[in-house]
Amino acid sequence: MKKVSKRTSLVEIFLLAAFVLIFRMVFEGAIPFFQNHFNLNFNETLGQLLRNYPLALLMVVLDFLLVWLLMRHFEYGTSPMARTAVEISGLALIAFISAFLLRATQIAQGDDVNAFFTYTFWYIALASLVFNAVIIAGIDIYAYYGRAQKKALDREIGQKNKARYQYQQLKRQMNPHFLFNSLNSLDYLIHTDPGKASEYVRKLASLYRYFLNIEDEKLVFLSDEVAFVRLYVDLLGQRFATGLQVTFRIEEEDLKKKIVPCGLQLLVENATKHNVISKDRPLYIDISSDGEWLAVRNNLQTKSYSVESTGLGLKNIRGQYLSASDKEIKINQGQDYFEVCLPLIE
Amino acid sequence: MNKTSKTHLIIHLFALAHALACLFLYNTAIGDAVVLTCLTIAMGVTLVRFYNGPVEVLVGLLLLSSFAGFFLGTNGAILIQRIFPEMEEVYTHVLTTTLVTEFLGWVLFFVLRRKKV
Repeated sequence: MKKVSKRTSLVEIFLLAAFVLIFRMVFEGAIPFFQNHFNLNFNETLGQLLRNYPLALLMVVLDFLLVWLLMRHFEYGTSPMARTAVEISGLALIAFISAFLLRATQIAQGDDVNAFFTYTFWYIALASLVFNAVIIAGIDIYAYYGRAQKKALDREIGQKNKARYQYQQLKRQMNPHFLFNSLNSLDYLIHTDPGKASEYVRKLASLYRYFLNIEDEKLVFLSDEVAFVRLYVDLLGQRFATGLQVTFRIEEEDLKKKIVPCGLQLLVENATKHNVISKDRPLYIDISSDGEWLAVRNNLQTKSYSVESTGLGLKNIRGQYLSASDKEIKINQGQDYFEVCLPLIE
Repeated sequence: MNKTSKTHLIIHLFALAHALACLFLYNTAIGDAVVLTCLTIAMGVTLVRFYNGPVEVLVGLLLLSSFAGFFLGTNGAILIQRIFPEMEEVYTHVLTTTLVTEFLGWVLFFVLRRKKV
């Protein structure tokens, strides 16, 4: 639905205020009219409606249903006049249905069947209209402000997640351990294989360029993230050699889908951080996709001396997903494996 | 003048307008009902505009305030007459409409000042 300005125009306000005024005037004129001509009392008629408990309950349920349907089909701030028109039509329909049902009950109890749609019917409909208008208005206002509070809360959570994510990004960019290990590897390569050293520097530069490029992105293409992780794995490969074995099994069409930036890299980093990696006990990381999920699975060989995981990285990815798409990540752990599945977003 | 002071001014001015309309029209052939309803709706519209309130709930707010005004005003006048039996009828209505307008104005203020969607 097209988003229109939330600011109400004067014409809209005038029309709505005129409607309320006319409704009030009709109501105020109708009460003495029915009282004087047909000896019908408003409070008594309203009492008849409300004393019929199943009918009263039905009216309230229909009121809730109407507001629920309005909330589903008319987002607040879009087409307010159309929404109001539908709301008033729904209100009139509920009033008509309740008057019809009450009259049907009265006829079943002995009233004249030929006098179904008489002034009594319309007076009941008026009483019902007023009652339901008050209920619907109350529910609608409550629902509106309930939603307003939820949106404000979501916005705050989103901002908190973003701040936490930016902090993590910054930390990752400046990660002294990674830089220290990379420089050590580079130093070794300069002495043993200058060609490889040069390639290593290029990869390292590309890695940092990626960090800079995705700084403000909420989601990135899987193809970009995979290319970035391949570079990252290459750099890790210099350090761990055959101790680290990473396989990519990504479906071609999934490369056009999106994930949160650095999500995949963080999972690979986590796996290398918390597990033993050696030539004798290689760490196998399997990265695969199935159209809906990107799964990162590794064999579990936890370091006995490692500091217990705070789970901050996963919490950060989860927060990013919730803020970007309302989707949850999945974590599966067995005796000998650990797996994290990231949702792929179209 | 800050926003709360302006709100005070709007509500008190409308309460005064209600009181004057009731005082001068209550005992006339036209009656005060139409003018009081128009004033109540005008107060609702002014507050909604002032707080840039959502048009979705405008009808609801106006309907509720206009009906609440009618019922509170009618029953409030009866109550005040019982408490002060020697008070002239028109003054009980003036007092009631002033109090009810203040009450509705501040209820609208508390609803409208909350954050929007």
